[in-house]
Amino acid sequence: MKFRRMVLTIIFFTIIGLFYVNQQVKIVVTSYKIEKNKHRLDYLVDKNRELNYNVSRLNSPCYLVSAVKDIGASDFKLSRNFKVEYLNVKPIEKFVTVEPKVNLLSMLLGWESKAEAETVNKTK
Amino acid sequence: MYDEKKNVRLYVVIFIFVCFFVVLFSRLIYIQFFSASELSKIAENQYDKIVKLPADRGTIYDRNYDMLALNKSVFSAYINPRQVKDKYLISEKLSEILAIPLDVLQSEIKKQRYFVWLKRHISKIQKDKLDNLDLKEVGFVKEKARFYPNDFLAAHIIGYTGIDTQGLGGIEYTFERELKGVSGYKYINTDAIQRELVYLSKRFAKSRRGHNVVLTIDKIIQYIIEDALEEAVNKWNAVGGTIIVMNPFNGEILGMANYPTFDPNSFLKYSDDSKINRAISSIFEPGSVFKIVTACAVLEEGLVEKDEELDCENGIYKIKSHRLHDYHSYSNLTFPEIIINSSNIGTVKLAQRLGQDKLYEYIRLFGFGKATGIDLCGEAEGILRDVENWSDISIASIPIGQEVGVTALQMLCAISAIANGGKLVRPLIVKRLEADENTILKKFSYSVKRRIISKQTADFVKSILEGVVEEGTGRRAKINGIKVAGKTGTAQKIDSTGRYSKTKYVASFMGFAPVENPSISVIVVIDEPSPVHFGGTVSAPVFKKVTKDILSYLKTFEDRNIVKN
Repeated sequence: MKFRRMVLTIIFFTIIGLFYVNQQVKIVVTSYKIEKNKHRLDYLVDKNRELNYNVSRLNSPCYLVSAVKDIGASDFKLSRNFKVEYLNVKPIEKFVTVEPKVNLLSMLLGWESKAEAETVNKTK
Repeated sequence: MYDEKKNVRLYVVIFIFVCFFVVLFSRLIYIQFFSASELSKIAENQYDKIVKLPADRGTIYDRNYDMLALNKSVFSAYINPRQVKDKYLISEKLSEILAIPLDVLQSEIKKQRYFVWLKRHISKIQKDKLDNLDLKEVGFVKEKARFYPNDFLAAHIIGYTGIDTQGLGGIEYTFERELKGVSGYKYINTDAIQRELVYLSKRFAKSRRGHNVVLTIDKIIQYIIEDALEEAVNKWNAVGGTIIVMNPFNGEILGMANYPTFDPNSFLKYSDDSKINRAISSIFEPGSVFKIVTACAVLEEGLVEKDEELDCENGIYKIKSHRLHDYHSYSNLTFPEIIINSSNIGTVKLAQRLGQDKLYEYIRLFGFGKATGIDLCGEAEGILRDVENWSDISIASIPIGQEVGVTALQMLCAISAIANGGKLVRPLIVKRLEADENTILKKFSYSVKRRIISKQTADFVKSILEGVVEEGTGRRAKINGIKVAGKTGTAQKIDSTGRYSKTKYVASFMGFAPVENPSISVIVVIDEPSPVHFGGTVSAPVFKKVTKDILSYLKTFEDRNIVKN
């Protein structure tokens, strides 16, 4: 009886310990994901800046005039008047995404729910 | 016997094992208890770091939110000399890619350090070539650099930054504190391959992005005047020039062009002379454009009737030991005709009615001899001696724009006061400071320094200046369909002997349009044009060209906004 109780207690604390270790591992893995996302964000911000720079450069009157001269339109003049046309265009409908449901057990045990099985030899 | 031998061997093995474990446990105890603090420190130094979070420098926009200065990420290359085995081979490879002299590179690589910069802010092509070499001794650091997408446009206003993005001129320097932001820091823990363990990051201070600066200038107007200025300077073989465009009512500078100019993306390649903002830093004797001060003063003081005639002495007038000449000889001219035909003698006679003290007072009221207060570094105050230091003939020189030094901006502010009905406004170059697109931190609104002359005086002088363009020395500034008012100026420069040069002049024209409700006031100053040097011939046509284009652009802009709304 005493022996059984001792074994059950050891098993109980082992399980608790395993949950704790799993939690710590998850925290570390999540922090790596956060760092990876940060790098990705930095990359996107850099790309955004690059695009802003390119847009400003293309909008620059110095660039526009030299581009016009390059194509041989030497008689380029400032416009004296212009016309505004409004187009009757429907706005593009946004795609609606459905978030996959995650159950409590898979959250606790770190199982990810997937629609398909993964192949063994996955190429990166 | 056999049992005794067996026991001895067993005891020997046990003894060896015991010795082994005693040594092992002793070592463990030593590491755990005696070296613990020292080893912890070494581990902390490897994995704990303080990382600086650099602040993003603010963006500079024009009044329509077109970017004039922004940041981009660039890579800077460094080398670890201690890791380099074949210094000569690696120097040759790097010298070709980075365009650094071989001897300079070799001396850098010979240094006994772990980190030496090879080149800051390398181009994408250079980075790709270095990546292809796959040298483990060479590494890259990502940094932020300042870029100016419009190259030369508004270079003197925007300024430029150094290698560490510190402002060195223009708005970049004047608003350095607002633009640079505040760096932050954080304590991080890294793993064995230097990946950050986010959950273990301790204290940190967030970095604050620099504020954005929105200028009053319009990119298109800036281009119009820069293009016209370059054309005029080249046409008349001039040393340089400046054009400024301003809203005469609220003082907003819509454009400020200088020639020669420079590209802030590579400012080191240009001489210091090309980086001078002549519009605010160069002092010159204004010549005949200064006559507007005397004209306003005598009218305001009621010392002349509007249609009064004065004897212009047929072109020669003697004052004490000095002979004053007119370019053309006139006998009698009315007060407006004196200004329209730019008679020196007529102007000096009017100034004599005012007297030195009153004239000095009005010159000061018009803002001369003092900085305008524009938010740009390097503004000159001009030269105006106190009336106590005037000579006997100063009354014959100063009213016609000699013996006094002014900047182009000061002259423009003076004529803008006439255009807006008599008020001296402070020129503005910055519209507002913003934290981001939706948060305005500070608005710079126009301020009236003082009223100089009454509206009636201003209106009459406007009509005189309109006459200058219609029938006087400024005929080449006339625009069909638009009423223009202005004044020409042709001033001799002082040569190396200290006398007035016969070959070096400053040709200027300043004016505003449309007269009935001025949208813009413009000044054009061309330095040392040749072979012709008259303001009416050199600068007035430039004024006509830019004013016509700018008014057309503003009308288009206004129409576009009306349609949008």
